Amino acid sequence: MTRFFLAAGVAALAITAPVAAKPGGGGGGGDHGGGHSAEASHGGGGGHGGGNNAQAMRGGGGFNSAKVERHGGGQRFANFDRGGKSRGGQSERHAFKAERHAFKAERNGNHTARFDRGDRRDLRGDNRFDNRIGDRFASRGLIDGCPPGLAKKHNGCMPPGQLKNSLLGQQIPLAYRNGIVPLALQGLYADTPNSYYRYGDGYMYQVNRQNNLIESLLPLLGGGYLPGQQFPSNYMNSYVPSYYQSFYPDTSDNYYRYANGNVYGIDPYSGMIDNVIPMYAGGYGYGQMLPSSYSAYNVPYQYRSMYYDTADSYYRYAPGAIYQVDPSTSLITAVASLLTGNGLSVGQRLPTGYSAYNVPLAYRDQYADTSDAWYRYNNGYIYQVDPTSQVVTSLIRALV
Amino acid sequence: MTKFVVPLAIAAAALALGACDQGKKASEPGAAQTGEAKNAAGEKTIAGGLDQNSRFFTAAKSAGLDATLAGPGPYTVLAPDDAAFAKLPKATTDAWAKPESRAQLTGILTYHILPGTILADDIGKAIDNGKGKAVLATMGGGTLTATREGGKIVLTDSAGGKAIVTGPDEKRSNGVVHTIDAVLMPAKA
Repeated sequence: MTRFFLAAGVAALAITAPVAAKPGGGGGGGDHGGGHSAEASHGGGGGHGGGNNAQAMRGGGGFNSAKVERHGGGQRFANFDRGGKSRGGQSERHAFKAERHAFKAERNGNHTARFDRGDRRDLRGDNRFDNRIGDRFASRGLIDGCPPGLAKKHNGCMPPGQLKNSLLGQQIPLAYRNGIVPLALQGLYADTPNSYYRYGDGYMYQVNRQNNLIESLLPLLGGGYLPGQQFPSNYMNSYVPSYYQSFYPDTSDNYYRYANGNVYGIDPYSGMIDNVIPMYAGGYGYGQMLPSSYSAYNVPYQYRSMYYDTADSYYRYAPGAIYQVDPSTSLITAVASLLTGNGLSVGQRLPTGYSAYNVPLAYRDQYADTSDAWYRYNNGYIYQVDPTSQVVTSLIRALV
Repeated sequence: MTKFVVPLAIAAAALALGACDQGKKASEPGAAQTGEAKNAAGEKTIAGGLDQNSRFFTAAKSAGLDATLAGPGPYTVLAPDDAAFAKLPKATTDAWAKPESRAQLTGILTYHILPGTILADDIGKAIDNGKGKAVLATMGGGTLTATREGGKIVLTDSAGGKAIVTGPDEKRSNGVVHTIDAVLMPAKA
């Protein structure tokens, strides 16, 4: 154990060394550049959103981006790697970083589940270039230098999808470099001799081992369209499937629409997507990220004695399942229990698909179908059904 | 500086220890289940009863559903045999191993899991009551249609694909497994 502590101490020193070196000389310059690299591409995004004003900025942003990428990012990672190799203890160092990540995630509450807030803003901290852009736009009457829909994302106006795509083929940002995949998911996002996976801000990055460039990225929040994007008008008539409508009713300031396995929350005035809720049937689940709207414990009553939050795992219900969630990253590490999206309720007609007797074996003696009463199991309860009218007459028993 | 390093060392050590713990847990099949849930599921679960090397169970594992089938359920699982998977194009099944195809794979697998314990006899009775056919709800949200052909139960998916129940009624503590001879495909979302 003592030896272990020592090793960890050395690893910790290895980390602090490059940090300490930061302000001085070439290393310092490189580091500054690294920050710009990410920000410059934000500038590009601003150009996209902001129309004419932004056109000029886009040119500038692009140019800077290329420059800093060459001088900065590369150098910084090179330093980082050297440190690792000379001291060994790579895994301890990663472990420590992950820990720090976790602390940050906790402190930020559920911000990890949102796109581009935490880490991105950190990168901005000491960034003069970006502030300059902000000031200029502000003087022209835009909110935070962005069109209204994009301002609140605090990512330099870029719609999140575009921002992430701009990272393809680039160095993985330092903030994500230590975003190790939770252990429970490492089988799913398995490292290979040629590449490894890193997690950051709702995306899983596949990174080439040779050059640390991002080969591909997977959006873990169900894919499809992303918050801050315009919802395509041809889907505006695509309503939420009937069995989910009670969960997602339209209100005067929020619409819900369905496309390709996801429910989208849409601002009716701007048409912008402000929430993406993937449905289980659309492949929501293992290895993906639980949206920030699921921050509170919400497991149905009948399952609460079984699925409660612990230090290692949270349990959350979303239509279709109870998920086990990694508290630090909001990634779904397992599907604890499948539930039907359309539960039975007393007074309702028995839905299609329940004509077959399905009571668990242990309860069959007590609840056998007769000509006067049928019994059906659904989501932890046994219900009694009137065979003639096919109406659910009562909830007979809770099983779990 | 020294003061700064000490807490770091402890944090790193604590995390490394925690990681060992987690590693152990992740390798257990019922890792998603709490003690209470395991008791409710009983000793011989669906997850434990399936052939751990079968292609169905391997697929369930890569969709994170192996842990689900070790939970209390109860579920009725229609498990296609290995030959059923072999009938599919190799490109399709190979793609399921990739994280980006997991959405599709999960949709297909949950189409093979039904709520509650439905024995073959129960499906048979429902077919009789339903004048030759019974519609069965699945966990994935879609439905299957059951009919009887030559004394065996046949399940038809939304695209018209058919699977015969070849090994009915393998009873488990948290449900029942029926072996079928084809992979059923849900309607595309």
